[in-house]
Amino acid sequence: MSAARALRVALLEAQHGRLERPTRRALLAAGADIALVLRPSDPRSFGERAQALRDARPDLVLVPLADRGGADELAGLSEPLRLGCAAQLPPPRALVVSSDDGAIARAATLLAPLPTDVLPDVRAERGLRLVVERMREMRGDEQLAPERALELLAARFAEARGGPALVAGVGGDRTSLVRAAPGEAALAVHARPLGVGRAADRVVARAGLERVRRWIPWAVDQPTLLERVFNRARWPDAASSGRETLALEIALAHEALALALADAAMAGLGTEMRSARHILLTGRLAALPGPERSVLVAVDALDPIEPATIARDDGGRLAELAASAIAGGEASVLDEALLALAAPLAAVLPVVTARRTVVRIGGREERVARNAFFTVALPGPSEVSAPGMPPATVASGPLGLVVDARPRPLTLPLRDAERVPAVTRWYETLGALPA
Amino acid sequence: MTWTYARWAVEHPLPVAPARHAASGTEVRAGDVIASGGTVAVVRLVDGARRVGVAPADLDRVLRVRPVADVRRGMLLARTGRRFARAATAPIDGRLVHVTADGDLCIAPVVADWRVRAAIDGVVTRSDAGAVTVEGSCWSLRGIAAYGPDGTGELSLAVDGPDDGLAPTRIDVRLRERILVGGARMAAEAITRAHACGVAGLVAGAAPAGGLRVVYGDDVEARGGASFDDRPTILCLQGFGWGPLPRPVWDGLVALAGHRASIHAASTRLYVMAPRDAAPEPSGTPLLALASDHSAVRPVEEADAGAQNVLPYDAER
Repeated sequence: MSAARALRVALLEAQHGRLERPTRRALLAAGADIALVLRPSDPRSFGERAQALRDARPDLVLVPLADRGGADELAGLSEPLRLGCAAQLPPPRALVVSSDDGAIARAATLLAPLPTDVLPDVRAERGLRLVVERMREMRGDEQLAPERALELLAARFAEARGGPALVAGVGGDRTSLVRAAPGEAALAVHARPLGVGRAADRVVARAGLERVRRWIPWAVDQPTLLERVFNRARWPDAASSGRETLALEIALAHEALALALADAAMAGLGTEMRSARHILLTGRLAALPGPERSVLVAVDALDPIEPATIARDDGGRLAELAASAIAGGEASVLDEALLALAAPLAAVLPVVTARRTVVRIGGREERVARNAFFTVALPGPSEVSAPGMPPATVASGPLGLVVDARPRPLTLPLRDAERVPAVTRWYETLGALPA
Repeated sequence: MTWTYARWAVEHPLPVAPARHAASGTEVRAGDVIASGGTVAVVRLVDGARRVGVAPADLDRVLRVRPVADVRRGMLLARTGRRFARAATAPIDGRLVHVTADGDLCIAPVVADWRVRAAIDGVVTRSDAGAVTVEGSCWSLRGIAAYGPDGTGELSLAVDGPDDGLAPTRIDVRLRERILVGGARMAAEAITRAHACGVAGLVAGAAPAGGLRVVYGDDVEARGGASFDDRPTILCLQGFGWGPLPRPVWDGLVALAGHRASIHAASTRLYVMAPRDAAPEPSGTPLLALASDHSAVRPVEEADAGAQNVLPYDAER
């Protein structure tokens, strides 16, 4: 994944709650770095808001407005912007996203003298598309190439499998979730900066050190862990050569994916991202030594809500072919590679139960208790079903079918004496414990 | 490269609403104040254009005071008319910091002052409300993360060798206004003690990340964080945890000790105001290796160049 600088966006949410979801969706699809969000309810003083905007050094100031009322609320946000960023070189561009002429006129007055563009309301499909395109234009083709490659990969993967597919990639500074279905436009979430390398410290800053630590299957103190995270963040493409660092990378990947999924949920895409029949793992997530580790992270963090088959892009070959296909305009090589390289590794059957229930796996019934987490070997493509979801055919691959009846969201005890056995059991179920 | 003698353009970002900043062409020395102002927090909004009956775009024509200027309570800010005058006056003692798009005037009480000082000797080449840039020639060494405000003082060694950690017991008030070299590690105890003793800044191979949280807060990041408030100034040259310095880096610090130096947090650099012949030009670039458990960054021999997690000292990070 690219380590290039993302488009830094300051979001002025004058009408928080009304336009939040489509705005977030646009920002995530464009792979923007949301450097600062300001709302009228922000407790910071005028001067603090202005200083925060100056420190954020935004390339773009996004101003979504539903109506004239929003433009009136904007004054409390635009004046700190004018004070904080008027001297910035080059000045940030303001992008007013609204279809209300009154709101546009008022916003243009309030945002002067910043260079200002206007696009239609982000709630309409056309407006959303135009906003995403504008932000992507500002980033440039070179920076966008890896994200476009994942989007093409997801589309071709969905076509090849004939059903909804999710490509999940964790990189050094970006975590991507791209869902595609045959004949439908892809839904993309490119969360930045969020990853297991350069942005490792941002994962800790957003999730909290304790949430990262909980995935380490042995006792480790917080200062030691933070040291490793900080060094990793300042060491480009740091390789995990030891047991400790491999566990750290797995832990960071868990939280990076979970945070990206949470971002998707804020954009109203949470359910879609969790309901794909085919999941392809790529980036550093697919480069973890041993496919069982990649699968464990995917099952834990992606929280699928229906049976899914999991594959991984070993060595990033498929992502490379997708990038080549974009450059060459020909996707046949990628399609062939998808058949050959995206072989199923495992399947997952999520089970929601209060106490115990019965699931059907390949024609036989299996009793599953709440909190169960185990694998079942399957000979080939098999039909599985669980209460509350339609039957589905999955291909399990060498790791088998993972039956996951753990209550969601996953919780682990805080005390190491209780946490370590619990998390170790999950690792051992898939044989993913770092040796 | 590690140490480099060159002509540098050092940009000093300013907080919002600077009241004064050095004019372009001004010659400055490291440590000179090049910009100053007051911290802006809550502002009082005064009707400006509406009060004096002009369009917001025309307010500038009738303003008697321009941002950023000190005002006294009752002071005339804008006025129109002769016999039947319409005027806007300041409601409080403070500073006119901003004029809004609607022609209102923002008056901020001055609660605290800030100053930005030049990091190097040189000439101001850009000066506006956003930043002051100073260009000059000196020695410089790049680090990977700096925290706190810029610091200027005499460069002094506070350890005996490149592998030593900075002991808090070696820091006292006699070292105030100096930049101390701390070897392989500066722990939180040493950082806070140095700050309490008036030390201008600390430079070392590494600092413990957990200790940085104690000193700078839980939102501290690996990329560093420049600030303008009263906090310790530190520069981590290599990483976090433990970082014995490569010999060329240490030799440069020894050779340049006693000269004026500054830590410029925004560019994560140490600048030393010394003539070119004060230190030997380093030949080659030492290699650094990230420890297998990621808890330290240490120098390695050239033979390890192709090994995993080994980078040149000056690699983009």
